Amino acid sequence: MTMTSDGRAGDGRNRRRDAALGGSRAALRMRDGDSGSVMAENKNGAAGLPPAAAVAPLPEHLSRCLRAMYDDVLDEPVPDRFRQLLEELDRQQGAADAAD
Amino acid sequence: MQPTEKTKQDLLKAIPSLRAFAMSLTGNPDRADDLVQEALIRAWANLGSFTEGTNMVAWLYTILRNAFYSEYRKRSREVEDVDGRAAAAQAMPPSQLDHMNMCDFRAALMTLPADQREALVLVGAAGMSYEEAAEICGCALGTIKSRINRARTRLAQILAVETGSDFSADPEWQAVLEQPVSTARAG
Repeated sequence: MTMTSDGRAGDGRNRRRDAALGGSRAALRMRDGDSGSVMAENKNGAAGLPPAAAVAPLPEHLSRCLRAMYDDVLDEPVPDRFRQLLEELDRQQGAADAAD
Repeated sequence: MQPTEKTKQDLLKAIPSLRAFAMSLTGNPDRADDLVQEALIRAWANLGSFTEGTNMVAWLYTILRNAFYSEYRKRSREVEDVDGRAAAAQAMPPSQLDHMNMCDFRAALMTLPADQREALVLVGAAGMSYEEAAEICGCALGTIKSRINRARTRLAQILAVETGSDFSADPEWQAVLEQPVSTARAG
């Protein structure tokens, strides 16, 4: 787990922000955005809609699925092939530098 | 020039993030790890273009994504990639969440166009800001936002249509699914 901490710097902050957005304001936005199909949006016309600035967050359940899916892989140990690859790249680099 | 020890450590530490991102792009564990390998090799060769002190994971995501799209274009010329989608449903072991829901979610996610999927994953799971995601994907901030909007609308549609009966017993889901319609009428 400690392996991943650097790779996810700022993660916690963003998730807290997401959580904050998950409140009533987010629910209001979601209602706006979800008021219907693409057809319905077209009917209402783009003029009445706010610019793309307002991004509705994913519903909480989907958001959790998305993070869980990502975190499943994130929490796996680094396969040996990648440690070996980095060592090999380093060794080749060292040999190339020595040859210069 | 030999990279510093710190750079090498940072590369190693970034691998779990790279694998998670690659998995969400390819939907296939073997292809994901091949993609990570390709990205690491490219990154190593281009370490000179990395600015010390900036976000190395974001820099690596950019490289990995470029590698993905160059391979993706190659593959799509060869053969329609159906194995990636099929594998998505069973690619990873479920964690704390209900098995059925996670499989449905993965399968639904993999049906999204790659540009929408990557935007959603970068911001929704990888903890990138919209600005960082825009930089990684090489597009405007507004483009990222609209891709995420389209992705979430599409996901909600797919999961509502295909798995409505599975979720209907779950009060939380029922609320999510019903809320937009009922409130739109009320408002």
